[in-house]
Amino acid sequence: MLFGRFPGLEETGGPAGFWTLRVPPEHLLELGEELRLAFPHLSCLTAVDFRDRLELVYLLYSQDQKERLCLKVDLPPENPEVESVTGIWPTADWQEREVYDMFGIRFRRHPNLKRILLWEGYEGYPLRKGFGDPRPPRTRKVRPR
Amino acid sequence: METRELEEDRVLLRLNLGPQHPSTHGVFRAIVTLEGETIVDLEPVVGYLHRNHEKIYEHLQYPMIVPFTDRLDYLSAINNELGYVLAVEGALGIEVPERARVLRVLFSEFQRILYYQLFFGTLAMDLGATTPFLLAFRDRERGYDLMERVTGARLLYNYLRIGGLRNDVPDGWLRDLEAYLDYFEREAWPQYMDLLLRNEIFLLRTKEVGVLPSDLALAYGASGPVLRGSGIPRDLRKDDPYSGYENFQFEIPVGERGDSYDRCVVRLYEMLESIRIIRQALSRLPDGPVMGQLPRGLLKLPPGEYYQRVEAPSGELAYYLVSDGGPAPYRAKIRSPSFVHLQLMPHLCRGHKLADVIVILSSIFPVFGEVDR
Amino acid sequence: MSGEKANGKQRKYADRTEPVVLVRHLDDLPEEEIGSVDGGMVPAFWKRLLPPVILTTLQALVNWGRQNSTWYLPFGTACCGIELMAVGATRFDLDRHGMVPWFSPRQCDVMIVAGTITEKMAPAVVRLYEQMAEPRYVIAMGGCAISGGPFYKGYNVVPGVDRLIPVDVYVPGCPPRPEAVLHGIYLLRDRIARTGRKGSP
Repeated sequence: MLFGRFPGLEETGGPAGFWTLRVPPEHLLELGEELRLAFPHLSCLTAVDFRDRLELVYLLYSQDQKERLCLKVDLPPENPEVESVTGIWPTADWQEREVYDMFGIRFRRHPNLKRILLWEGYEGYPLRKGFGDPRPPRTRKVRPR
Repeated sequence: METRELEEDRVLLRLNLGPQHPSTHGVFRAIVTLEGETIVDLEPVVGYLHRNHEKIYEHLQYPMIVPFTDRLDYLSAINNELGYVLAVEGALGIEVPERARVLRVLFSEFQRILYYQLFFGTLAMDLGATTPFLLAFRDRERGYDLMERVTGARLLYNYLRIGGLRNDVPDGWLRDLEAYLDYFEREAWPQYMDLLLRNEIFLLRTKEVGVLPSDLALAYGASGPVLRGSGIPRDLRKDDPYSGYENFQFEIPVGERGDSYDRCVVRLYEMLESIRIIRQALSRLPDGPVMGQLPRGLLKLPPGEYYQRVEAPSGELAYYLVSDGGPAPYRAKIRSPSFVHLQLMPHLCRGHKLADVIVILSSIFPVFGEVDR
Repeated sequence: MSGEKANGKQRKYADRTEPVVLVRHLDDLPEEEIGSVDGGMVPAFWKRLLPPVILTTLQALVNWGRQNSTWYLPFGTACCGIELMAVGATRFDLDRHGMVPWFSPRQCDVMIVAGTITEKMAPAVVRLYEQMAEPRYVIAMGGCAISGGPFYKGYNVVPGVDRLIPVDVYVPGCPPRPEAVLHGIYLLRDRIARTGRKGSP
């Protein structure tokens, strides 16, 4: 009955043991609200850079840890944006910050979307496939004594 | 440091704590906003040990990643290796021999004991008591000796392999392990209990400090002793067992109030449960090989995603591997429990004094190799 | 080095590879000035009066004092930090060598950098080094502090702390055994003992 309410929702392949759904980004928040009681434990929130798209992955567990659900959201590689789920699963707070830091995906209405592992002003999103180390090429120089 | 004037004569002071400070948790920085001595807000800053594990793994073949996983939660290296190795074995469908599975459980629990010994030592040192730190290291050194006889290393082992273990335990080792456990249970553990938990200063400083309500803990994805200290009996070894844990009998110690005291006591009692598991493992250890059959040639995972969770001493550690059929992972994500727990710091510290921040941080016990990866 | 803020704002990496002239270290002093290395303990007019043999003994005395009470700043970032704690603990006691872990850099003699240094942490390392008073020494403990270690490819990893501060002793290992750390400390003590003598390294 979920599939009727959310057009564009489709079942897809995912990690072993997980029922995986591909969710259109605009329906993510509503779907999350529906599933919050059944799957209260957000174990992992991460992203993968498949060069033509960015895939956000949400791995959810039920209260007794027996049921598993995986939500995948496809985002375009330029200016990816999606709603933040911190209102539904507060544990997503820092995990979304990490995804922003590493991939550049912006989360709308996130309470504190700043870089977390790197520093403000760092250029580039390291876990993207095209990322190159911004530092000058290294020479074997040591500080003179 | 900056100040802000509020109404009347109240002043808010913003103070920087870290990243280098005597509390032995590594590189943690907190920007605390104080009113007098009371904390109004705390903003944790992490990333000072961001060593780019996830990017590096994309360039390493699957077996080469095992020593790197050691360096995540460097206090209990085997648990990290176990999570990764189980993920790859699950993906490839490799059968691990029974002896290796039981030995893996044994080593995981032994590492858990060592981790909690260090937890105890550093918690006491953060509170100013220096003796328990030395006692903890006295016992941890004996544990290091045992691990060194098996794996060759004291702290970071590179011992688990995809498909089993690197080598079997040497002769007489199991007997020595049992002697160590007897010694620990009979002499050292009661010492820990006496020194700290009957100490009035410790009780005053940890009871009712950093109370984590169970609903907040669940909402923020806490796991491990942090969650169990708040009264939720969730343990992945029971709820989502792996590597044969379903065959072992053990209890799950659970706290009552969710304060720092409960989190400490839960860990101390879990040491006893780990000893119980190790003794069961010793009694039912079968003979046989310790390495299973691997597919020939370069190890390549079938394209797809794989997710494996383990109950590391710090909580729910998980690996998410994405494979495109090549010899290296396309994407490797490490779900680190300490990273998720640190989000709780502002909520736990508000209203407490500055000195309590150290106690609360110690009771959560983040390991920064894991937080920053 | 100046102009940094407490919130970890980075200077550009290129700035850091320029040699920065701090207060000159003992070993850089030319031969003539070595006699002055007693740290100003002996006022100048006494030095003119006393015969040189007493000054040499004084230097040896000062060196002996300094090498046997090297208070160290444990700059433990990662796994090597745990091994550093183990070296200071019951079995490999550092206290018997006079090495007390002291967390205030202004009162320390040696800074033991144990663990990976990241670009984000680098300003803190340099700031703490600058806060140390001369004579100061640095021990780079572990592969990560020597050259970046297993993480040398990382975009956030400084490939060796000797890119930031001058290092006296390198102790290899991942993590180094406590015996190796002690060996490195003995080498450092030998170096301190040779301070002010001809041919000191």
